Amino acid sequence: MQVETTRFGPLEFASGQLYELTEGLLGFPLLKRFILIGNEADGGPFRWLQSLEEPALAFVVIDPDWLAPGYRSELPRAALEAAGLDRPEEGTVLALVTIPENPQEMTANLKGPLLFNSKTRQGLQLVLDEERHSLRCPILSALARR
Amino acid sequence: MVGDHVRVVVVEVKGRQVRLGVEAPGDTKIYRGEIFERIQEENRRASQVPADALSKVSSLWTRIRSEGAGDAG
Repeated sequence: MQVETTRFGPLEFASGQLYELTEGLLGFPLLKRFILIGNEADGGPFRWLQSLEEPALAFVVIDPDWLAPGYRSELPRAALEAAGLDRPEEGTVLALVTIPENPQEMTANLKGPLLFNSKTRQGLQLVLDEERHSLRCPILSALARR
Repeated sequence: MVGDHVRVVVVEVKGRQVRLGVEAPGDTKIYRGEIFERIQEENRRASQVPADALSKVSSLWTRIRSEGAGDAG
């Protein structure tokens, strides 16, 4: 399959890269279908989530476990159920990354992660209303602590 | 009542503070409006990815790794 994107040009992708937010992204209900693009060049933790509905839109994403070890395994039961999961290991979790003008200050949204069922590749954006999860978790300092 | 199944009740009045409780069926998602709006706004910010983000992020990662702190993963 192929999709035309603003950032990457024409992009070949496999069905295994497809992910769907059944209710869209919060505030962007029409953004449902994405492809997850690895960044194998540097082996780093960052990946791209390219919208299939909006060619110009691609988020940088990171697995929150890079920043907060144990994050996925501590997701609330209700969140797992919403994604049709019995166990956290059956899910794919991605945090959206915000990159300001100075990329050293980039942050990850750990309050509103995306949780997908790895088998069906369908999921939702969670709302984790817990103090310990930061809306703007500083990425570089968290990675340096690893 | 909100709709047929959701009930908002005053749990406690203490001085100038009022605690509200929401009674709703188990599969109802209940959030404070504020957190919802903050995540929407952060989604909007995250959608503004600078054009050269990939190379910048890549070089930052390479630097962290070469400093020896990020060899896991």
